[in-house]
Amino acid sequence: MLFGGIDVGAQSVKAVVFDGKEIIGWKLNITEEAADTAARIVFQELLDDLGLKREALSRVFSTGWGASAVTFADGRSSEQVCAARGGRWLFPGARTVVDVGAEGCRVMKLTAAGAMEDFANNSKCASGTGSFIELGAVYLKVPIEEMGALSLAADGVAEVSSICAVFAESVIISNIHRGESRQRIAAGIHRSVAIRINELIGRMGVVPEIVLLGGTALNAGLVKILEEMVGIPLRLPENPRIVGALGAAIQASLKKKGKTAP
Amino acid sequence: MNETFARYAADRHEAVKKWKEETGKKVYGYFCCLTPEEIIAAADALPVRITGTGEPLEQADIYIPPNTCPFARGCLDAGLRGDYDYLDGVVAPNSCDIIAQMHYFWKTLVPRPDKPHLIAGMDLKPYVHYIAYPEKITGRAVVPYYLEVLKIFKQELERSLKRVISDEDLSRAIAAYNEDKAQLRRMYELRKSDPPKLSGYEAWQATFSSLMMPKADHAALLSTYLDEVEKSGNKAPEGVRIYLSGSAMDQAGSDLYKIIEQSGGQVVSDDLCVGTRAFWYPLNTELPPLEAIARRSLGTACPRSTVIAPVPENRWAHITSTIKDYGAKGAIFYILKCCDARNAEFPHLRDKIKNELGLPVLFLEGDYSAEGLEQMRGRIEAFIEMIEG
Repeated sequence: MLFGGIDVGAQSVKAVVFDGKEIIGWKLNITEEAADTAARIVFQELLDDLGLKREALSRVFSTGWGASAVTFADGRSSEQVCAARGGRWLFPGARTVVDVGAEGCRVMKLTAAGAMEDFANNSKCASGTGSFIELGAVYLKVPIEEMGALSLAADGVAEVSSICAVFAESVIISNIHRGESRQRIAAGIHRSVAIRINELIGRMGVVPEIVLLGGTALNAGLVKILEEMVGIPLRLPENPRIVGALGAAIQASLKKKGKTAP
Repeated sequence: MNETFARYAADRHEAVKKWKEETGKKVYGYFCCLTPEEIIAAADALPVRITGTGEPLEQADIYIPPNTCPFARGCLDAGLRGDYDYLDGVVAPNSCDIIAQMHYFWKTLVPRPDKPHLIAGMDLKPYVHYIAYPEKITGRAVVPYYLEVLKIFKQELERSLKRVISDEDLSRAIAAYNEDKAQLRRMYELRKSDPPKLSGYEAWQATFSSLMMPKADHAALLSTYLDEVEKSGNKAPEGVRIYLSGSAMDQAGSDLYKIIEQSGGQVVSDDLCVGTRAFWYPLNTELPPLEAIARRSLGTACPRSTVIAPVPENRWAHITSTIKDYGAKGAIFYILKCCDARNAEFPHLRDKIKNELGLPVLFLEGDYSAEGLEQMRGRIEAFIEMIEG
């Protein structure tokens, strides 16, 4: 039996087809349409790639920020539960799953058996999320993909406020004016994000293994600073951006009925 | 759903104003469930709980810094807008720090109908009354001290209303309060079944309107309503049983009940001042009436009174019974930003609830706005899904 998972995030929309044992295929698009349309497009493209028809899938679950807008899904599951499921499926020893997306940061604590027992979220604020790093990249005039490498090349860390993404702009610009190197500023931006993520991990109690998910897990600069703060190495999925969608597909395989739109 | 309760929940100002017009009686606004409101009722006036607007603030931030309790600012904003112009007086007890200061803010900032009656610099008939509720609520000196405070308040009311408040008046008010408390307790009993016979939102409406209506009227109405509920086999939508705790839960936060229900949960009990704390403590009719009122006010287990221990025994006993007896499976804490009393005890309460009662706990940071509530939806859904497994 085949199952589908769709994760409508703040920045990208992801689809995964899962057969209960393995990932059959996945697709990621940057969200440029309304949530429902974006989800339909990415899902159809994935089905076309795999040469499948919608009917071949037993159930499709949606998750993420725009989950309730996905009208063609059979059910939905919360982003915390899906991230925990997906992270645990990839790393069966996972006890803590950290999901840092474009605009959300969530830390899930799992029992030894793998059930989610607690979670912590960032409040309604972009500090501690991917968009904070993206803003930093804009001010440093660096493509987002190069931020990690830039940070790794730093010989120190510039002071960047961890409080607010809006005020961080002035902090970054004043660092530039002060003549701080771009490398050190990049490291400062990552440190500021890592402090926030580390706070949430601390709230859940640092229980290994810790898995890092979301687009930010592709950023080696952030991973290095976060690992230093947490004190233990993080487990990184090969494809950290689709784990939420994978979790939704796993939920679809486990549950007959998900939540329906409110 | 009861029509009168729904009317009070939808527009309490209109409902109270209509009552005032029909009866020609006086209406006093008060802050906080520690207020000895029974004395106001004994003077044949109506005590109504002051709440804020929950809408974006218009004027309060001109006077109070924005990093102050959003509930208090919301209340003051309503006063500044003139929403409470129908009040004949206001009562602010020294409960938490910000509510204690509402005495000063209301007196200085909200326009009052007439000039103060100053004699030798003292206002003998103040428009805004201050209740010097003790910092410390246990110990031999507390009740005698608080009785003196209540006598002063009673005198102020007697002068303002030009009438004597006799022990018979107080006893009559106490009887009406006890009857209403008994009916509200009966309503909470109906929520113990699975599914509860009333939804969390329906129960909230009835509790909220009890703070705005004469107690005898409310008790009679609630009694009839509960008879109907029992007869009709009314049932709340099924959901994960949730215990709700937090700061002021008035009409501005009441959508939280609906969001929890839409997310697959059902609030079955609470630790809220528009909730159990408003009626849990009956007055002792064996005592002299003023002492019964003093002891009810002092015995109300408010987080404000946690100065002696992180979670005092009477509070923990109340929390344990409202969680266990109602079969709650998860606890949601909706704590307003800057609510120091609540935030300071939260870590202790969270750990005790998790470790001693085995319930998961969700913390939500409230900002006293409908928009803020909507942003909590995702976390509430995840929490309920987590409990469902």
